[in-house]
Amino acid sequence: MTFQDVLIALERYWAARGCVIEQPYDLEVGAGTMHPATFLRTLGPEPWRAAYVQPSRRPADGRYGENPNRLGRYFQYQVVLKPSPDDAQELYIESLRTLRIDLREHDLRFLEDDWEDRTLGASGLGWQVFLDGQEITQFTYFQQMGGIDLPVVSAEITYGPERIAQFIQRKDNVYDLVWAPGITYGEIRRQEEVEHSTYAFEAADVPTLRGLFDAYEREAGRLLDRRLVLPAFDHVLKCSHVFNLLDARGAVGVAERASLMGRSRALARRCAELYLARREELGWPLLRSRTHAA
Amino acid sequence: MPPDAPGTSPAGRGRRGGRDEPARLVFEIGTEELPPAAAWEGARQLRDNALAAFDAARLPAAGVRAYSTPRRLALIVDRVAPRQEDLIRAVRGPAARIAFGPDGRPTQAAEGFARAQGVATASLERRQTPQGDYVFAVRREPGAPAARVLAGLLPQLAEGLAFPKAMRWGTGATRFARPVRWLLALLGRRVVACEFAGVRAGRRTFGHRVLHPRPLVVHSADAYEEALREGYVLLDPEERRARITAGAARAARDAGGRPLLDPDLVDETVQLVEWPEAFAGRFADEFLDLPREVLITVMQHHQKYFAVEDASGRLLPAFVAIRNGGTQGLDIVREGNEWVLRARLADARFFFDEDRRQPLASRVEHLAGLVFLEPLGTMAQKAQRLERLADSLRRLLGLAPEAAAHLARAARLSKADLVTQIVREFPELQGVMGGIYARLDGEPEPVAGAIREQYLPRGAALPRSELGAYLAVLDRVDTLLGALAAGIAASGSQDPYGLRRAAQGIVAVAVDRGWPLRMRDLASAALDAYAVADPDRRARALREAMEMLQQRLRTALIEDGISYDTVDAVLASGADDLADATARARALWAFRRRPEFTQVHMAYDRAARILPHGFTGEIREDALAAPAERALFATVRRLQTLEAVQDAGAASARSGAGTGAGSPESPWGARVAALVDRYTEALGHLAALGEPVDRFFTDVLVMDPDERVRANRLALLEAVVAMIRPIADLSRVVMGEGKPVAAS
Repeated sequence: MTFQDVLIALERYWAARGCVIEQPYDLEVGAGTMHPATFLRTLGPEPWRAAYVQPSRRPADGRYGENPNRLGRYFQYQVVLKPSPDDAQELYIESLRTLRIDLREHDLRFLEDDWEDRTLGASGLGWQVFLDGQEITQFTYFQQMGGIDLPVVSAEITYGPERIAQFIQRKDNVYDLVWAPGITYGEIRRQEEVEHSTYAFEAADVPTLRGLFDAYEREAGRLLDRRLVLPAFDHVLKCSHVFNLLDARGAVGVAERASLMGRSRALARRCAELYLARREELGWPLLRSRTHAA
Repeated sequence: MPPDAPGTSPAGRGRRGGRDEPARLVFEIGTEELPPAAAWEGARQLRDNALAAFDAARLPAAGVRAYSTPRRLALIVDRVAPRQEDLIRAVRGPAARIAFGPDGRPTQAAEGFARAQGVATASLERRQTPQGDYVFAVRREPGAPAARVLAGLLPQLAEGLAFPKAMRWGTGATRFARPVRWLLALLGRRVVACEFAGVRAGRRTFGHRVLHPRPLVVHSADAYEEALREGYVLLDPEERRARITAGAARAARDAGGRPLLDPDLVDETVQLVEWPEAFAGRFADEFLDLPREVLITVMQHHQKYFAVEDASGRLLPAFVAIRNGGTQGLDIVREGNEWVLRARLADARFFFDEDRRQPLASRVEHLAGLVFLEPLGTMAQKAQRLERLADSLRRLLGLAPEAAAHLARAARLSKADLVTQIVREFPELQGVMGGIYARLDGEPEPVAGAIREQYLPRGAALPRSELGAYLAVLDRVDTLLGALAAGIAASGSQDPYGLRRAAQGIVAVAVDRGWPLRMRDLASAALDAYAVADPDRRARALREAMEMLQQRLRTALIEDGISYDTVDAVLASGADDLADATARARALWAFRRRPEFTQVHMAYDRAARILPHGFTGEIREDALAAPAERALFATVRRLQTLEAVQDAGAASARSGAGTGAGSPESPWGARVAALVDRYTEALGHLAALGEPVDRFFTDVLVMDPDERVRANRLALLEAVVAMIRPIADLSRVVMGEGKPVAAS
């Protein structure tokens, strides 16, 4: 199974289980959770099921293309099920079978892992899923988003498709993965890892980044004041990415770190509150939806 | 046979068939994978709460126990009575002489009372009470059948479980450690109809996720464990533990060694698997170059593997893992785990090599970017304060120049490993990595050792080197005084900065090393290092710190088996020097078992009682007239010349005791034992006061009308108290308690 076969199999599997196949968000984000299809949709009472690939940027994890496991940009396959169904775990396990993993031949574990994102004011309880000692998935029941308790709990399943493909292909170096017949992950992505690592650790201009953070933060606040929640949220995501770059660059002291995270969290909270207000004004449209039965 | 009408037969009798026999109960809460701590704690609470609940519900139950696996909490009761016990309620009515007429027939009063109580007049009982004879209406509310009682009781048990972290799921409002997916409730062969978390109880359970994915139907409570076993689930954690430890030993033996069975990891693993299967895997020899601690941490912390060592205690390039499942595909599982570990070790190797590019000393400056505790500045500032404190300790203990230089160097480097990649990845290796890197950098051995040991004691492990002990105490004194000066205190169960643990560590180390150190001086130096100037803040922080240390010392001494009143008597005489206070407590506790103790106690107690508060006076020898006065004076004078008694009374002399008796590695290591001997000797001498004090009080009126005579006699008694009081305030000793227990 190639890397892209893994992604395609997951798309088909979750499409058949009532998920909207969303597309990656077109901004730099650190995780699939930050996609509005998860962060905003899990707020409020409306049902929602979606699945999508999300390229995830973690500038501090860049290793110039030299480390066999760490990447500054990698992929998440994200599934969000709202409300969390009774058979969420079974659905997940079944998805592994569609990846032709015969679980009787392997060791599957759900290891306690409580998840928290302090820049988003988000938290949940769940597990890291281990297969033969390899972490392949994060499985989380969201409890809070944007600092708001969730009345309807969503299950979030975040696959690490590289890890799964490495597992299936028996490759201990991510760059050796066969992405598509005849071409590897490394051939497609290594240059990007080298250049972005160089950018994040050496070339990024700190005064420019600081200026961007302030500008994006101001813009987010201004847009929130005008009740434009989705554009505002985009700017929160931009703040978050700039923060990650500053952090990778080693430019953030500890006190400042807490302060920047707090500013980002405050904006995320305002977005969450405004989103709820806007959806309510719209009459919670998905509560009436016929096309998207959970 | 029709059902018995209530009240026509005593509870639980007169029935036929199995239902009037006690029956076995199984109540299983099926969940998604519980955190190991929740599985352990849930089973404990389930059992404890069940015992109380059965009692409160008047439902006799025997053989109550609870078990847990990653996916279930199960309550098993071997014998539940078929019915609740009847509730018998006796209500007092009118006095017998009013209730019955002279003819012995019930009066209107009796009839009215019986009617109001809903019983027949003829059933009223006449009983004697302290107030005379009265009539009673006795109502027997028959107990409900067990199944009906349990239908209410079992959901309450489930609801009553409290987890430190609970969650909601779906659209429900129930909070539990993880989502509840099924309930099994069987009393004998019957389902107990009940519901919890939106799930109805039945006779279905589930076996191992992979080996037995389909539900298991349990026909009878008796068949529960066996059904689980057929579903590849071992219900009893102890059975899983036995299989894990035996399997790990076997797998490690096959790999040529024995497993390092970390107890916490074993506990955790027991609750990660329902059907344990141990296997060994290997990693490349080249990784054995990594420090042992790094290898063990990668295996245990990240992968939950047990490390394997050979007979000489050297790590082998092997590990033991516990799989949740049987032997099918075991080679594939092994290969996968080996592959993951190889990647992990390659990461660790990368971090280690990166860290080694720079000497540890060059990292100190990066500590400026690392906060110690929010109000207490950065780790760079902490390291600077520790260096200053090291100099204070040199002065207070009179350290030799070489030791002082090593301590200062260790203090300077102590926190540098916090900005290494390995410690960022494995925070539990703080200190250990610093020690390793310092050694590789060619720092002197005592410096490396002290860095390594600075976070001890952890559990029972104390620092082994004198320098490590110094650094461990300086680190904690700095934390404690800094927090207290910043107005942070531990209260109740809240101790977010670990201040109590810090105080406990200081006490444990200072006593273990026997230092002649006044903690107040060191605490004061710590406040200087923080540049706390405000006298009120200084005084408050000092007072709170000394109170905390004294409190921790008190707890430690009581845990050692010394009675609380002995400890309190000793602490009342001061505990600034923790090792000295410990020695006094040990000496006094042993001395209390000897008959002479009553002599010392009596002398002190009688003298202290009569002395006016704050009295001081000089003994004028020429004014001593009575033979009892002269005799006591002679004894006092004689004792005052004895070295042991002088030592006991003089803090300065005490401080030196034991110096030189210790080894260079532990200069004061023998001090506590030497002090115990000295105090014991002093107490033995002081017993000589008993007889003359007794005679003094018998023959002489202390409160003589002549003021001069009275003052002289009080001065004599003050001298008695002054000889004993530096050891302990014996008036706090509770006589008759903590007394010598035979042969102990």
